[in-house]
Amino acid sequence: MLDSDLVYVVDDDQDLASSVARLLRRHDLHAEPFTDPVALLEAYSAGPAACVVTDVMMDELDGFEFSSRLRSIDPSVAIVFMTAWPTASHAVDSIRVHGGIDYLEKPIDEERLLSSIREGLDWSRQSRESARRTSALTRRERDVLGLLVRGYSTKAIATELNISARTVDDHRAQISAKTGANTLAKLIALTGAEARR
Amino acid sequence: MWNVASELARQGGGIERPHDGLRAWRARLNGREIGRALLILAAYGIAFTLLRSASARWATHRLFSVWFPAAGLRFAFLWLTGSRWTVPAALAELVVSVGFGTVELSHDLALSLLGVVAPCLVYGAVIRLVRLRSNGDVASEDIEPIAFAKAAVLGPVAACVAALPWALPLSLERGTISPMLLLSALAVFTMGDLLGILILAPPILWLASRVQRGRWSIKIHGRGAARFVELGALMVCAWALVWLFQRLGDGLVLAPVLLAACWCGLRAGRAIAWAAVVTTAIIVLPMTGIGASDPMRVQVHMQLACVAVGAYLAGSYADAQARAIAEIGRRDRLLLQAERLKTLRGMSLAVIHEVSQPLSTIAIEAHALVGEAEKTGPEAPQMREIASLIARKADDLAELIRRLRAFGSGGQELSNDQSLPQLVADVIALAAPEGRDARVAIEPSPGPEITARVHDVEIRQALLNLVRNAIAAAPKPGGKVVVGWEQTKSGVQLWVENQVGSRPSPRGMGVGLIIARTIVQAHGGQLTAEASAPGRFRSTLHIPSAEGADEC
Repeated sequence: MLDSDLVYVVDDDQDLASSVARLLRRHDLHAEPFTDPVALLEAYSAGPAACVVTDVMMDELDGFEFSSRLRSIDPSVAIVFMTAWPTASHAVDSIRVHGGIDYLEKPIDEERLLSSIREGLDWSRQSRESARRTSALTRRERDVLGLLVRGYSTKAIATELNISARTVDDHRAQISAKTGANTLAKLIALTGAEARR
Repeated sequence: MWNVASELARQGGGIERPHDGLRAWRARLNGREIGRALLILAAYGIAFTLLRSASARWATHRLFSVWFPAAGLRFAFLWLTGSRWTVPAALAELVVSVGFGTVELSHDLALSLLGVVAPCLVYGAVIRLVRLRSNGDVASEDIEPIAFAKAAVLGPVAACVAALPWALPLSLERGTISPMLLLSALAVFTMGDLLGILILAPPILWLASRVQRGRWSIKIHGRGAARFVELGALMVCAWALVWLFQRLGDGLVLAPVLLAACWCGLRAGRAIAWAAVVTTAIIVLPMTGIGASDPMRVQVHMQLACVAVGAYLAGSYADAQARAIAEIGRRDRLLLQAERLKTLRGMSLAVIHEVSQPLSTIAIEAHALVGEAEKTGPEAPQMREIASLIARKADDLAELIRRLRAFGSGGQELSNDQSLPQLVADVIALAAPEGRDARVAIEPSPGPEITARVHDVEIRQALLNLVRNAIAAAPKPGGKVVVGWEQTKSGVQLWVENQVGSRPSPRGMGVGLIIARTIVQAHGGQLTAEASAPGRFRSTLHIPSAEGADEC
């Protein structure tokens, strides 16, 4: 069973990992410290978290590579980076390339860490919800959904996918029924949450 | 004579400053100064006339001398005092010459007057031009030895060329002298002046500079004894060849001496080149005195002039090269220093990293400790106090680390809008302790509120360097340095102005100036320096506006 408040803290400095985990626990989050990112990746499937706070520069596996592998296991986990070597290019990459929630300098600003983690937990929850809803769609329905959110009309979708307009309408009804999103805005919100990575 | 020379150097500052000729004279027009100037000019005029009379032994066609030492004195005088003394010096020459009766203002007054005054005026103009090229911009490389050699060679040639347009038509019109004779006379004039300048001016200037600095040394490159033996042997061989040619009936052929003297210049610099020229002159001049035929004199002195010009130019280039090599060495050391600073920066960043890691833990746990201590209740008041103290200190340290990190990355910051009055005020505050120690006042010049897009840290550094230079150059105690700013058509200017001390400060390119120039050039601007008013010197950073820089 997924714990929607579970946060893993990864840092090769065990003292700091434990400290941050204790800090989070004091703020009513379920936090676990890890010093070995590789071990965490192996064990992750058994206990997926909602958010992972990770150091960027670690001996065995750097934080960015770790986050990519983590994402391939669990696309809906929120990631917060922290570093003692902040650089402008890393800061940009951590958000744009690695889809992180935030990039924090050490010594850590506690308020900012907590607010970033809360944001991450919300995002993770939404992302899992969207994934759950869209997981029931067939492949054809996914194609139709993809074109719908890009602004295609029923007729245009029919031409694009080489099917009749009637069939497209059927698919749309199925999509609404399975996801509960009955307006275009809701559909966009649904796919938007999935796409943010 | 030498004391007069040093007095002149003191009065003239020994430095050519553009734009202050007339103003400087006006400022000097008080009784005592006028008296002193007249005395100096009279001494100059008398010395000039005496030398001129001495050269009569080598006069040809009763017109010009094939060796004219008075030109050397004139050139040294103008070089030492600056070109604003040109007209007074020309008048002094004229008055004293006429007074002593060495110049006859006979049948052709205009021609005689021009003949006396024109060379001096042309020399002044040539010295001014050469100085402007080499010294107008303080940021340019100092090419002093070459500038002198250039002016020494160009002066007589220019005087000769300048004489052609008026002397030739005049001679044709009045028929007092045939054009061919005039041309040959002018050639003799050029040659005589060249010899006079290259033989007499260098020792006068050397003596003047020694009197000024109180140091007595001659700069000769290479290891002394071995170099002396090598060059001495070379000169002896050259003269042996000359003697041999003459014995064989080929006349006086100075070509071997020319080569040897040039080699002396290249190997050992100006001083030895000059010694070689003087040795040659001492041997040759007695042969061409009274009794020698004019063609022989002209032929021999032409060769002597070639020896003088070749050797002195070679010596000047050798000295300039030696200076350049020394300058490269100095810059290498600067680079090394910069490299060490870079390493230090890397090490500081590593330390920041190493400290920030444990500090993160300490800060988090200290805050936790404060929370825990709150729970202990009133029975342990000290515990709360200690915990909050630790937390506070950890926060202070964390803040320090953040600031250090921001400072370390300062070099990568982009330019931003800076208030110039604020920037000037900051720089004055930074330089204030140094000013106090030197007892020099530093003041801002009131100006409008202007903002400019500049690299904050770098421009501050450039301006600070200029202020420090100004403090060093200002008279002490009681000198004043003024810092100001202006909007211009193409951007903004920041300037630093100081009074000039009675003893001129060395004009070398200080490290501070190199850095200031590099910084302002990186902004697409330039650094200039000039006399802004009599006795005041101003360095200006010209910074183009950001839009203007984009167009470039």
